[in-house]
Amino acid sequence: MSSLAIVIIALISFLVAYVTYGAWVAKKMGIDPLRKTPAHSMGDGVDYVPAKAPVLLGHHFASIAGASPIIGPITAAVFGWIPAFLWIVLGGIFFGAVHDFTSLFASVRHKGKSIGQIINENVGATGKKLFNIFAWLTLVLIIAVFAIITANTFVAVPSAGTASLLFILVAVIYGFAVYRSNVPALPASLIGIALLFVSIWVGLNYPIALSFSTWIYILLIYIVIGSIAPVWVLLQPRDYLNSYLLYSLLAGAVIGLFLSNPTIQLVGYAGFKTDLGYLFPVLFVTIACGAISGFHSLVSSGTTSKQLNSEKDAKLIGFGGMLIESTLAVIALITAAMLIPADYKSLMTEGGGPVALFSAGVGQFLTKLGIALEVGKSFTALVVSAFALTTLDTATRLGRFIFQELFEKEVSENQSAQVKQSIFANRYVATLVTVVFAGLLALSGQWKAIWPIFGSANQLLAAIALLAVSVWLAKLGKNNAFTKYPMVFMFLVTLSALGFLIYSNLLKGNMVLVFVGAALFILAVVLVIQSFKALTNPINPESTKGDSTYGKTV
Amino acid sequence: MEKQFKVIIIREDEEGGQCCAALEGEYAMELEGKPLFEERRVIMENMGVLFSLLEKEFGPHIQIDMVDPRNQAYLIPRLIRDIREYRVPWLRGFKTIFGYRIPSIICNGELIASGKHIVIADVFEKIKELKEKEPA
Repeated sequence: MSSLAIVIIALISFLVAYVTYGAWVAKKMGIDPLRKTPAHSMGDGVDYVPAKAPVLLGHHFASIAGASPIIGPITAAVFGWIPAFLWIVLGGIFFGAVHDFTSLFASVRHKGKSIGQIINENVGATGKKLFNIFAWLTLVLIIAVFAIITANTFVAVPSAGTASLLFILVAVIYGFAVYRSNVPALPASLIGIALLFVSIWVGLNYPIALSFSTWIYILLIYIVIGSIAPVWVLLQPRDYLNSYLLYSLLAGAVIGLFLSNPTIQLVGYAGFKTDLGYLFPVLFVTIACGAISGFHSLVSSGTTSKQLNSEKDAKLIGFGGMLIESTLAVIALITAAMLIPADYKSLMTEGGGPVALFSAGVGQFLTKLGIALEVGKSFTALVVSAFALTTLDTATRLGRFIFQELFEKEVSENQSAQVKQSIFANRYVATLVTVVFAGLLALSGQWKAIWPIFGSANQLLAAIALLAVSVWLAKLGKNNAFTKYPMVFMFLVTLSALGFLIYSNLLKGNMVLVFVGAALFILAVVLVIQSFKALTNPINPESTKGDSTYGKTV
Repeated sequence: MEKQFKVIIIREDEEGGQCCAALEGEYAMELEGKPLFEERRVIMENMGVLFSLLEKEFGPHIQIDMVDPRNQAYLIPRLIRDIREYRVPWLRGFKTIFGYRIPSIICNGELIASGKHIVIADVFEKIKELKEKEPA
């Protein structure tokens, strides 16, 4: 079968779903183009600023895209390309797009508050603490799994290791130029991009061949420094360079794919039981970001909801943004599906894993644009590793914040000098604890065992967001079938996946993973019960005073 | 049809990172209640003052777009479009595209202020002056 046919089927499905199902969901939720959004009603020109739909879409997409929608589909191809493809397309439409769209809309109708704040306000202090422990454990898993995947990539594609180290240096120089020396942004970016290509050239000529564990130690040192350093030193400049890389990769991969049109060679359906586990529930948690991701609700309700110009734009940004991400997941899946099963297996086990496989696939596509295979491969590995490195140090920074918050004593301003904070509320201690836990997991090297647990945690967050939206819609007397059924399915999938993963790791003697999985499972169940109770209870009138979005049909 | 007076304010949003670990919303705050992107916040607030002044002065007679410079897919084509639409001389057009710093203010395709040391009152006066010069 032609891979172009698959992409075209996906694109048509997404387009039809956007026009029909997306419009239906918008109607059921009560999208009102004439109603003022928080960007207008609370407009301050700082956080609440109306932005045109294309401006916000570009911004929103850059925040939700990353390495996950690439890694998940390639890993899940072990079940065969058909189940993975169906979950990306159907999951993307009926679960992910609905999740992103409705959480954005809920946030807009809650004065631009984030889903986290909406849940926390309703669930109370204990719920918040549980949510923080849950989030911290999830972040530890993210750090561990991304460290393993990045280290594996650098072992398999040593040129990408050299180029990635140089990329960090380029980002730091860029930061000094733009933020300290006031150099204009576009020339600095162009020089930065040129230096990235020089990094690739240096990488190809001077590959750094190190062992897996050495790379893990280097990455752990890097994330400690990267997460403590001021944001303008590394995080901000890298965001610029990453935005160029993301669009270059997307453009190159799509054009190259259309020109090369590889034949699908991987088996369509490999069976219900594979090395990764049972198709249900493991497939559904392995592909997280390409189909549905709880982290998107944090982005939708973080900056996006505060800048939405009109409620009618929510469909394009929430629903449409997710479908673009699912398209990226379909392209990633094709890089695996175009391989014969033996090559897929060897690349996934000895060949460096999903990023190396994706790099080899996109490298092939790029040859159609006249780019040498090795250069294309290194470029793609550099791009995905850059996304992974970003995830690594931002996850560490987030993990540190959450850990500190767990131990921080709340004090008023005039008490702050007298109250001694716990040592765990110290930023360096909190960083070290987060990194040491993640490092221990990472050194086990078991990314295939960790990835589905991370996926489960990510999608539990999505299920909780869907729960919050469902209860809110029910309170307004609205039809919530489009969020309620995906929520029930996601709870079933994620909790059964965690149960299964705890059991299978117990059999293999992976006690650290058993502990993490069990902790997540228990926390999730308690959190869900608490959330459900709190969210279905009558609303405290004090907390909603003056807010017409609660309890009334809008 | 009368051309609309267009202002682009280039300034960064208070967010960073990517999928699975985005630092935004309440996560863009340090524990002490201090913004994580402190320098960026100062710029955001200054640009907010300009935004409010322009909105108050000109209301619907001006189109203001606040664009994050990382949003290249929108920003660069938009600058090119404005330069062409307002027939900005090529040298000044070149300066708009290649000379904008963070933050910057662009009026009808022309860079009128750029860099960290922008004085909001001066920029506001300059925009007022340009608006007054507009053909009726």
